[in-house]
This record gives sequence, structure tokens and C-alpha cells, in this order.
Amino acid sequence: MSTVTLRVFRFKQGDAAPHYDTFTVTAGPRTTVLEALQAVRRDQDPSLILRHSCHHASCGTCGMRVNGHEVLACVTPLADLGPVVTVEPLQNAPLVADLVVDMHPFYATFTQAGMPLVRTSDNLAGSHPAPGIETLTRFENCLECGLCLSACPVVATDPLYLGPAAMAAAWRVVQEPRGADPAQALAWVDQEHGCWRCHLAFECSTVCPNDVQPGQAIAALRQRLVQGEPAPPRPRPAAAEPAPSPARAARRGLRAWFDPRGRDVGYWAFVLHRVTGLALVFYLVLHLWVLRLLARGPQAWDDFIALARSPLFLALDGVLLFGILFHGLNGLRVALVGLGRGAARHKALFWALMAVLVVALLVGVAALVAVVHGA
Amino acid sequence: MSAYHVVIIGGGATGAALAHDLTLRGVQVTLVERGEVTSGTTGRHHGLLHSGARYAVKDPESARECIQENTILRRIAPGSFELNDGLFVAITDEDLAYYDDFMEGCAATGIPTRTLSREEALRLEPNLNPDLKLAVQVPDGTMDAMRLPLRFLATAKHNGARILPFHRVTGLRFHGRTVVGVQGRDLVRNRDFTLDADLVVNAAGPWAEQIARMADVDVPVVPSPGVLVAVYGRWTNMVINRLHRAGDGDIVVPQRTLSVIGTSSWVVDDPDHLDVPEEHIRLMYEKGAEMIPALAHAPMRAAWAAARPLVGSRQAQSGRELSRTFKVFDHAEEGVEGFVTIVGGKATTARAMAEVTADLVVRKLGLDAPCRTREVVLLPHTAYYA
Ligand SMILES: Cc1cc2nc3c(=O)[nH]c(=O)nc-3n(C[C@H](O)[C@H](O)[C@H](O)COP(=O)(O)OP(=O)(O)OC[C@H]3O[C@@H](n4cnc5c(N)ncnc54)[C@H](O)[C@@H]3O)c2cc1C
Ligand code: SF4
Ligand code: FES
Repeated sequence: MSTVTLRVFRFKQGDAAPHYDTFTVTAGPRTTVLEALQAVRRDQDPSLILRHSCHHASCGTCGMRVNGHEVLACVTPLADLGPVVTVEPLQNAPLVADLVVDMHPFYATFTQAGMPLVRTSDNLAGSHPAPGIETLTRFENCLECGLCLSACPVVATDPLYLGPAAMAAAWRVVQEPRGADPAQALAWVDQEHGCWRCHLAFECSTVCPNDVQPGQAIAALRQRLVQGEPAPPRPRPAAAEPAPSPARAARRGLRAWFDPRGRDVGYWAFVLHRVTGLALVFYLVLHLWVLRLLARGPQAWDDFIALARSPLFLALDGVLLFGILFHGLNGLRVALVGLGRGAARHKALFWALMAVLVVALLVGVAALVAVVHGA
Repeated sequence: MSAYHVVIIGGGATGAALAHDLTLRGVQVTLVERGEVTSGTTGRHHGLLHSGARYAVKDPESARECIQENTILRRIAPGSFELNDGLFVAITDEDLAYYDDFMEGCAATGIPTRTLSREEALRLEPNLNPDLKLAVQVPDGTMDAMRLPLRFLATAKHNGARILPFHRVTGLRFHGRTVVGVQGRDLVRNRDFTLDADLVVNAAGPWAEQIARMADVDVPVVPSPGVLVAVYGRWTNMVINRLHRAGDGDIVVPQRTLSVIGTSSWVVDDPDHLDVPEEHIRLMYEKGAEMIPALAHAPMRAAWAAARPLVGSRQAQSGRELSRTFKVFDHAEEGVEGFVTIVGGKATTARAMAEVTADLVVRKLGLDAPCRTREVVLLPHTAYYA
């Protein structure tokens, strides 16, 4: 038995602002975050509310952020998480109270994908279950938990974005229609706020508790749209209704880019891509400004060149080179994965390109130094 | 819609089915649930749409209810069940000796069966214990413990019922000895609430006794927990039962990509104090592996406990001796008007429980409104959030 301090997010309708309460709980090796919160509710504060139902990662109701990670509380052991554990509701969904968020916006989009809600015992067409059928990949695997929406940086900023779970459902319809219309599903995601809006952070696939791989599904939808036979013209389903305003208010917006807790490489690639993109624009402006010196005659230019040889300036050149290389190479990854190439191995692709970046950066910096000092 | 207003306490399978039934009969319904709906016993159950075969020998009344409801639910909740059937497997000679009683029980209660040879059974389910003697196929099925009741709630809601999760009832309101409403705490806004009602139904499952005490009446409900263990891997496609008297760890239900082994049975006083004894987890693995050997090494996804709301004597030792059928109490018999309790049963029989309860409720309200839940097809669970 160990003692753990829980820092729990608290908010009730009518409160001016949320706050955190701390509770001390004891945890055995198997005690889950859910069980600890139930014990808090039973023994310490009966006003605490949270969602739970199945207690075995099947219903999808107990999604929350534990130390910043989106998890299912019912299968997250408390003992592994350190002496102080912070528990917060999912993001990018309207807050009801305490750890409870409103799932209405999730379902409003999810149901538009048109996936038939039929439970079957059959394998997904085209899947190759391993011996012992332990790797059935059926879309019913989606628990409708909303973890992916909480983790997605695009959901955080685009209130109309269809989001990972709904697009995974649409891909399921394409793979195995079971009476639904795949063309309809493809037309639905083929829009500005659909599959083209995804920026391949792959946080959805990282946090998904049931290996639905929504990120890969979105990449597959794009590939199908790029390669597929042009669909016969058909009435386009209405674009997603703007989510009700509380949903929008609940989105975290740009802040989501800079919250480091619980994030994986795809997310960092996403954030760095944007930061380097903005920095490059800034550099371009700076560059034009410097070129203006040429018009002031040789003296001004020579003064600038002297400045450019200073170590500080060289270091900045190195940073610039990093930005160019990162943006270019990750751009390559985004383009490849966006067309469905290498989606399954997006992380390996990222690290391979980063290896290229390191080599190119070293060579580039060495060349710079040689030019400056050799000349 | 009649002017009558009924408050249902408890948002489990029973409360959900009752909200649907009463709404269809034209009654105004408000359902209050202290947590999220299905956060009591219901969401945590094994996920078995019972054929009734498990009870065919010892508890024929329960078996009959199960097979009837099994047939009705397939009709009114299409898409909610895997049509995967179940197998009762005989592993030992002792199991085999139970075969005749079992077949007789099934025949008497109207449960269709098909006996499979060892080879036929292994062809259908190659991961079964190869030592098995024979197997009997019955119309069991896999269901989603939360999403079926959500369909009742979704349909009730769209027909006008009000569902209030995160509303804990702390007391009943009286006019003399007649119950005229409930009071409690709205945990979303952190303030007290009261509701007037022409009649209050206590559908609080294993907590039903706590609610009954608020009216100074007694409901003999025995909270009887069981442990369930979910392991990674779908080792069979059918529900696998041991062909013997209902005991510990003798059912394996495939759920999505998991297999759920259950269950055990003991009795507790407080359904909010459920532990998951380590030896029960071991027992589930051990017993499960007798039917499906690969389970012994399947990594665990979760282990949890839930409390059955069994009706019966508090002297019960393990809960296994108590019937799985249900009981409706009209507390007018103890002098308290306007208050009805429904407990017991199974998630599989929730609709039937609701029918019997609603029959009593409308009779007490003086309404003439027949039950329609056998025919009305339920909305999908997603409609609960629409
Ligand atoms: C281990 C196990 C396995 C099972 N497996 C199966 C199976 O495979 N198939 C099957 O058909 N059945 C199964 N059952 C039986 C089935 O789960 C139950 O019979 C059924 O879920 C009971 O539903 P209920 O609505 O009566 O009770 P509950 O689901 O417990 O609902 C009662 C509700 O009342 C609420 N409540 C309590 N106090 C208050 C209050 N003061 N104010 C407001 N609300 C309150 C609770 O929060 C709870 O949600 C299983 C049971 C157990 C224990
Ligand atoms: S795709 Fe995964 S993370 Fe998203 S809702 Fe479904 S199960 Fe949850
Ligand atoms: S309680 Fe169902 S997923 Fe955790």
C-alpha cells in the first residue's frame, strides 16, 4: 500500500472559476485511478462527480487527463504515477462539472459518419487475424471515449473540424459498408474541415485506448480520395453544423500547442512545424530589410558583412538552417503521410528524417564556419 | 400524455427500461441517478445476453424469463447483440453426467439446444480445451452492458422523459404516510433539489434497501458481488459456459477484442464497498483456463467487481442459492402509499421487470394503458446524446 495525493480539478455550474482540491488516498498495486476517485467520493467528498460504467475499457465513459495524459481511468493503475497525481477532465469538450464533460458534440459529429451501429462477431474484411485471433481489427473497437479529440491540436483550434473518431468511423464505412454508402462517407470527409484539415500530429492514435488508429484512418481516407475513381456526383451532405457555442468555448485554442504534458513526437513535430514556419516568414522579412542596405553603398554593406562574421551571427545562421531543414524535411513527411504513404510508420519516418536533419545541419554549419574563417 | 408524474430512482438497466415503458404508456417520467447512468451494477455486468440455459436446471422461472426476453430484445434492439450464440462445454465425466438434467431443463423452459460432438465444437472454436467431451449450442449472445440500457433511455428521452444524472436522492417527501416526491442533491450545480411526484419507484438495484429505509419500509435485497476479469484477446467467438451447475469462473464472454471471465459470488452489506480479492482473480484465470487453456497466459486488461441486487434472505452465504428472478414491492402493503420498489432480475430481463412494475404503477394511478415495449423498436444508443 502506498499513499498518493490526488489533485482533482473541481468546477460546478455557477462557479466563477475552477479550482483544484487535494485528497490523500491509499493505493495497492492494482488500485486504479477510477477506484481511487470512487473512494474519494465515498469517504471524503460525496459531491465529486465523474463518469464511469464498465470498469474494463469497454464503455469509454471514464476518459480523463491524468498528469496531462488522456487515459481511461478504469485501466490506469495509480501506483505507477508518482506521489502527486493531477486529475482533470478531457479538453475540447464542454465542461459539465468536475471531471464530467458533455459528449453531445462528440456524438453530433460521430453519427454523421453514417457508420451502421451493428455489433458483429466477424472479422473486419481484409484484416488478417493472427493465430489465436488476438488482433481483430473491427471498428466496433472504437469506445466512443473522446480521448482522441481531447489530444488533437487541430480540434483545439478548429471548431468545425470533424475530428479523429468520426473520421475513423467514416473510414470504417469505406472499408466495410454493411449497407451504408461509402461514397457518401468519402464525400463527407472531403471538405475543408474534414480529412484535409488534419496536420498529422497523430496524438489521436497515441492516446487511443483501443488501437483504432484514427490518424492512420484519416491518411487512408486521403489516399482513397486522391487515387479513387471520381465518385459520381451526388448531393453533398451538409457540412458539419458549427458545434454549439459552449463546445467552442471549451476548446483550448492556441494554448493547446504549448502544453507539453502527455504529448508524443507527432505533436512536437506539429508544434515545431508551425513555429519554424512562422520564424521563416519573419526571417524572410528580415532578409529583405538587410538587402535594402545594398542601396546605401559599399560602406554600409561591408559593415554588415563584418557583423555577419561575428560568432553570434553565425550561431543565428545555424538556427536558421535548423528551421529550414526541419520545416522542409517534416514538410516532406507531412506530404508523404498525408497521401497515405508511411502512415503506419510515421514515427520511424520522423526519426529517419531527423537523422538526415542532424547530418545536414552539421555539414551546413561546418561549411559556414569554413567559408567565414577560410575566406 | 397524462398529467401523472412518476419519479424513478436509479439509472441502471431496470430504471432505464421502466422509464421507457412508462413513457410509452403516457406517463410523465423523471429519472434521477446519483452518478452517470449505468454507473451502478448495470455497466459492470458480464455482457451476456442470457439464453436462460445457465438457470434451466435450478431456477426454471428465471430461465423462462431469460429466453422470452432474449427473443424480444433481439427484435426491439437490432444491432445491439452479437449473434454469436453460446456453447456449454463438458470437460470432465462429472460435467457429462449433468448433460441429461441440462437438456431436460432446457426443453422444459423452452430453450433451443443443439448438441455438438467434440470435433464439431473444436471446429467452431479451436481454442477450446481439446479434452472436451461434447458441447451444447444455445442462443446466448454478447451485448454491451451500457449501450443497451442507453437505448431504453434514448427512446424514453425522445418520447418526453427527463433523465437527470448526477442527482443523488437523499430522502423522500411525504404527505402523512404517502410518498409525494423526492429530495436530494444536484451534483452538477451543488445545490439541493426537490421533485413532486404522484408515485416514486425505487429502482436502485443493490442500493434499493437504502432507499426503502427512507420510507421506513424493508426490502430484502442482498448485495452479492462477483469478480470479473477481462483479458486481452478474443479467444472464442461464442460465449463459453461450463456444462455444470452454475459456479465460479464458468463463463467466458468475448467482448470486442477482450475476453471476460466471470464470475464469483459472495455477499456484502454495502454495495459501495466492493474489493477485488486477489484470490478471485486467480480463480477466474484457473477456471477459465479449464475451458480455454490459452486464457492462463492471456495478459489482464482489468479486474473489477459489481454487486447483484438479489432478492432474498439476509442469511444468504454466497448468493448462489438465491434465485435470479425479480420482485416488485407495493409498499402500500406496509402502509406507505405512492411508493413501489423493483429489484432482482438480470439486465437481460430488465424489460420484463419494467413491464410488471409499470402494470402496477398504472393500476395504482388508475390509468388504463397497456404495455407496448414488446414491439417498439429502440433508438440507437447514440440518440441518448442527441
Ligand atoms: C458480476 C455480475 C455479472 C452479471 N452478469 C450479467 C450478465 O452477463 N447478463 C445479465 O443479463 N445480467 C448480469 N448481471 C445482473 C445485472 O447486472 C443486474 O441484474 C442489473 O444490472 C441490475 O440493474 P438495476 O438497474 O436493477 O441496478 P443498478 O444497475 O445497480 O442500478 C441502480 C442505480 O441506482 C443508483 N442509485 C443508488 N442510490 C441512489 C440514490 N440515492 N440516488 C440516485 N440514484 C441512486 C445507482 O447509482 C445505480 O446506478 C450481472 C451481475 C453481476 C453482479
Ligand atoms: S478513436 Fe480511440 S480515442 Fe477516439 S473515441 Fe474511438 S476509442 Fe476513443
Ligand atoms: S469505465 Fe468503461 S471505459 Fe472505463
